[in-house]
Amino acid sequence: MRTPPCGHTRPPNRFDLADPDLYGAGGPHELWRTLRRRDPVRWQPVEGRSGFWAVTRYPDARTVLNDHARFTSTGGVMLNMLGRPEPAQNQQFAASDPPRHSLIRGPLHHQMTTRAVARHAPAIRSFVREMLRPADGVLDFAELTATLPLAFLGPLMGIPATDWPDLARWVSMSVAEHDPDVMLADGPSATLDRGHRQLFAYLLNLVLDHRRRPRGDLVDVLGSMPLRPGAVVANCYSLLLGGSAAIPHVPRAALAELIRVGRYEHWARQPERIDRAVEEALRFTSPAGHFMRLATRDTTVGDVPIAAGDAVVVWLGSANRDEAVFADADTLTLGRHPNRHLAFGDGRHYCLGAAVARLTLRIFFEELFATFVSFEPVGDVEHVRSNWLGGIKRMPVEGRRR
Amino acid sequence: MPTRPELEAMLTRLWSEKLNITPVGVEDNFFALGGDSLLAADLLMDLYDRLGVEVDAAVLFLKPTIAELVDEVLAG
Repeated sequence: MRTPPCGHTRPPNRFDLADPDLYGAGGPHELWRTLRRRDPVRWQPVEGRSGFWAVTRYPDARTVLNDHARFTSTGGVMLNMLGRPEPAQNQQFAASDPPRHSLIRGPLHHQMTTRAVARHAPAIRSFVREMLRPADGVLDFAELTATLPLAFLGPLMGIPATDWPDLARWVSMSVAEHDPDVMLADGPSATLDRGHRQLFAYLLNLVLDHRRRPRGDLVDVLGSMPLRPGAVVANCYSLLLGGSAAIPHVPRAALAELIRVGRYEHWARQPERIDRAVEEALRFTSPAGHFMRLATRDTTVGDVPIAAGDAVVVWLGSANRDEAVFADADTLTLGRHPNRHLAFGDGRHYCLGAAVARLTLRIFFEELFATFVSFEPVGDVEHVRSNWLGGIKRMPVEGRRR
Repeated sequence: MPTRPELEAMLTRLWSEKLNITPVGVEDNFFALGGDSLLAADLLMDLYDRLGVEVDAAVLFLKPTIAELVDEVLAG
């Protein structure tokens, strides 16, 4: 029997947190707020599969993400793996727990520290300048930012720009399989399989190419580890998805909000506060919407009993708007400090690419603010239809250059 | 260049070994037989390294039968 916490009544059971339609108009922030207040660890049944515990409060999210002994990553970390076997279990850093996790992640992390990625800054800046150079007047800001991941995927994985249009589509199929722009006629599950297999085939070829011509990048680091070929490719897959799916959504959703509240110029005038701007944009937008874990034993989260084997899904977008932690949580505030958000997750699985993502976003916002004096909306923003990827896929604006 | 029957026999042995099942038919789907993406990558790497057969990785991932793979090898 799943019991609600004492003295609380549950919100009506008529919504489904796994339903991609909930996310098609931006995050379900009102619903998350109600859940945080009244049902912070809620059992969500899923048709055809058993269901999951939805964790919406910040402290509970941190508990689950930090306690890998009670909450394992080996059963997959996204809702689309619920009830499916995770073939990369213990083979891929994202789907492993310590100590196995550290063996794979450690050598990669060596190249991903703040200090290590700083050497890529000049290349990232010239890439971003080139991206923004032709932008003027009416434009789709989503299209403009679509290639942002290439700023570092080139140097870090040896991925050429010419491959990007295919890769971007396959990545979308793999993380936003319900979005009508990428969903195949056979449905979301077939879309997921197809995107995933296309990426595996591509990455296997990339690994072979690195074997013939090593570049000293992350693919070479993986290739030199004592891993079977399938595991090398599966880790490349994690790097590629982690590096490319979410990051363009940070500037998109942040700019959309700045335009909505008329604060673009206020932000653009304060380049000295760029680091805080980046952190606040990350907190506010939280494009990676959730992470899943499986309980390894009978336990509790909050006061709610969780059975061994149950799926527990941490909603990062909700935790990052937890009013008990972030004052005025629904407002994008340039000066917010401290700002210990969970946009990169938490614990041992904290985003491997966080340092390069921060560097890239800082450079992007610096260049954007230096290039454009203002933006006006010229049409409706369209959101991604996905229970994992929170973001914008079309954003018609008119930009005025300085 | 090996002949079609030689390639089919070679691939059938390799699939049986990776998937740990026999028999494997030339029209069987690798993923329907219980293969996953990691195993498919292992198998392709074995094809390259042990057997010297080069085939576009997309064929195994998207048209995952021995018959399709053999067609591709013979066409290449």
